[in-house]
Amino acid sequence: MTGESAPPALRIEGVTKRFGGLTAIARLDMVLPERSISSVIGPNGAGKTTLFNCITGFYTPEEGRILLRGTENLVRLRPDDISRLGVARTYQNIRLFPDLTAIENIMIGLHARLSASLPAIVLNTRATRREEEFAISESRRLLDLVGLAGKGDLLARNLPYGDQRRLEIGRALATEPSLLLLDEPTCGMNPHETSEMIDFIRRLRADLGITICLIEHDMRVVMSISEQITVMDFGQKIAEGTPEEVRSRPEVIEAYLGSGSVEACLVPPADTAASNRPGAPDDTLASDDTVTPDDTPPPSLSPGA
Amino acid sequence: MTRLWPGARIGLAAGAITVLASLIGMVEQFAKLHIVADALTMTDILLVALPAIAGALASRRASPGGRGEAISAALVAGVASAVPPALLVLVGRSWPLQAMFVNAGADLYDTLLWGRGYLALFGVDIAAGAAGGAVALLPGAVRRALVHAAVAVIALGAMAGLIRPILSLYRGIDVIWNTGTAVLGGDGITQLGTAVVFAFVFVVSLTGQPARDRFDQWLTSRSAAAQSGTRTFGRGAGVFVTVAGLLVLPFLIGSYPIEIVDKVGLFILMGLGLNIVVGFAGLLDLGYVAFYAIGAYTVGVLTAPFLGLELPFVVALPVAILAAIVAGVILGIPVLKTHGDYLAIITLGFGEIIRILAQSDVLKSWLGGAQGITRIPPSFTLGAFSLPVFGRVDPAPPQEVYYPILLFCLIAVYITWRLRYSRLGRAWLAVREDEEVAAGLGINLVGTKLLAFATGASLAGMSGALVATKVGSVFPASFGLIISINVLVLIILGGVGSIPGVFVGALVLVALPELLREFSDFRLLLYGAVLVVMMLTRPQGLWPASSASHEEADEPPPEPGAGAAT
Repeated sequence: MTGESAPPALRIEGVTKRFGGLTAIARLDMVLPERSISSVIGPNGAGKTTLFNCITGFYTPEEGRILLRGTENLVRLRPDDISRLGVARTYQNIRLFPDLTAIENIMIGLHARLSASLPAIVLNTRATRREEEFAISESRRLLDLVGLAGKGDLLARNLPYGDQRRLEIGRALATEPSLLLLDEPTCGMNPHETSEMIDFIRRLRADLGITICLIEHDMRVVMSISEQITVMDFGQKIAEGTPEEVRSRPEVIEAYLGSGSVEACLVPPADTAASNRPGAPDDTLASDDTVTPDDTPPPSLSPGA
Repeated sequence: MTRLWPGARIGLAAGAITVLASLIGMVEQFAKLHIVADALTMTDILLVALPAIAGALASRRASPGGRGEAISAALVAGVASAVPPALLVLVGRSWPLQAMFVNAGADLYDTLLWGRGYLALFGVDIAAGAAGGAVALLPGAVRRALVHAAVAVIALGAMAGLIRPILSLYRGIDVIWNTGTAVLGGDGITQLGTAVVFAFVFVVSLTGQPARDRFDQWLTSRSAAAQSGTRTFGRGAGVFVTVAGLLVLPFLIGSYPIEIVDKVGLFILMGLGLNIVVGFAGLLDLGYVAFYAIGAYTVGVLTAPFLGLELPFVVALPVAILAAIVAGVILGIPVLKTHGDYLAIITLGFGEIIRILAQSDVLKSWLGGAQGITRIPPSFTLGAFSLPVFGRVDPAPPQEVYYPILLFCLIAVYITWRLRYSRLGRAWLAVREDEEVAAGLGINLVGTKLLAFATGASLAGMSGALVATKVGSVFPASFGLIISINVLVLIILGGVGSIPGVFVGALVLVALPELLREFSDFRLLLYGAVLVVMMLTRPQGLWPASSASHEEADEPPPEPGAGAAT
């Protein structure tokens, strides 16, 4: 809780999301301070991606409020309206437009910032031409920003895995968000790429002054980057605080750190089955990178332990 | 034995196709189509091509085992391909098959046996299989050149009947007339013509590979050039020659061929519209004919003496387009929440509803019921005038309606091309690729989809308006489901989402069956066969859609799909 007068970037109050009899999120409260980097962590199925889906309007929570900048309640708004209010996201299993080029992917992200109407496009008015020039130069700038300069004409499906993750972030940034939600941005990356991504996320916040919230399984990332960590388990918030505070909480160690999967970014958890997409381009590459020696769960931690 | 089986299986399949073609009357029908004058009919080619193709496939499959293995596989395929027709003759001569298959008569059996006997059947098939197998073993460029040359001869021969009337327009120009008559005989091409065409195409194909590579390169870079607005002199000159050629085309080729061009144009117009809905936005619309019907009926009602309105076409056309757009929006609103198969079924129903409404007795006093609306005046008339070379010309109706069709096709191409490389086109593609993500990026799904429906409908409305004035009447029966299917198939054939693909698809699917009258009985069968083959071998279409390029033009984008398919 911040006692300042400025409203937080996002305030979640008592949000509950149920699927039939299953409560995916139960009365969750969460605050993302302006210009902060926060993480949501928790075991698979804890409801983290569901929370992102509620914030971005893909799901409508049954109860609670989601307030953007203290005023705008996002509950019941459509995803496109929420995007225009300045919330952008990436997806756990990369959802680019695989058959379009990298630059077209970014240009689609610019959609709401352009305004040419059908007649203006057909007549190719001066405003349309200028807007299209802006779209191309802005897209190039964003490609550059995410480290994909010169790769704009490659089909998204042909980009290496790490580039696809970066392109997805670039596409999200194209909407000019004030709040960026990253769903496992370092999933499937090797240690080198991971540390690059950490630097990149820090730089984003510093350069663009945006609020960033990530779902992350890699504890090194979470501990090094986050100012605030929210721990979820079975749809409930079980802890919250700075990395140091969270690290020392017994229930966190019990529920999460004890599961043995701390160091790993695992294959897609069950709670995001809805957003799973068949034929994700670089599945094999992803799993290759994922399987590192310290991935295997310690044998001592059997389910009964 | 087991090593012979793959070849035998391919051969048996080819033989089975021969039997099928025989029983449905294709063999008999194609005998009327002379390819090479006094020497070869289409039936001969069919009966030789099937075992030859089987031999080539068998040989290619066996080629890893060495040359000898490949040739023996081709021989086996040749033998096997003669077995089913031989059995057909054997069975047919003992039992009266004609009760079931009208075509299974003595004539058919004679044709299959080449008028001699079983030995001839087996002999020809084995020779064809071996020849096919041998060709398959040739180096790629030579093999392709041989195939190109053979296809060129067959195509020219099959269309000879159509080209001759065009040729007769040029009786005054000795060079064209003399060359033309030397190549084209009374039926099919002359034997001299065959040799010349075969040799010419063979040499051009063999030496033309670098040119084709350059063409491919140009294809991949064309959108880049279009985007950066490069306007070179060569480009301008090319456009000028094309436009000039299109303007005088009706008088260059005469009135029956231009009728086919008109029809192709109408389908291009519809194809461009449906390409926006299906190809860009990914909304599978099977009731597209409804908008075509609405356009046609609006013009019919407003301009024909039927209701006594008799408005001019210029007034009726905007109303027709508007009516189609309104219908598109009305259909769009309730179906926006549905996807894929469900959307297809709803739109299918909509198409039928429109047709049945037009046919119904309730609306008979407005729409004419089953009798339709007749005496619709033409949209555009040209008086008689003089042209160099041709002298005085008095244009026939198909030559006149060509101009509005051309005009609207050009407008439609321009519109779709502009839209494709715009904010809206990109939004459509995003909706097609992943609706949820598109919404997450700020794209309003409802508005975007409605716009696709409305734009697509407007082009179909245009096409309908033009067809009403071209035919001079509208009947409910001409707006059946088959039109929607045709347009959809031409898009799939050309390449979903590809603008040039619409042209290619319309030419192949609309022009070819018109040109080859002998095929028209088997049109739907061939559609089906073509679709199956396309989906198996080249699912991206004949002229696949390309992505926009906005980077520096000096690095050509690699297009892995295009290279792998050819």
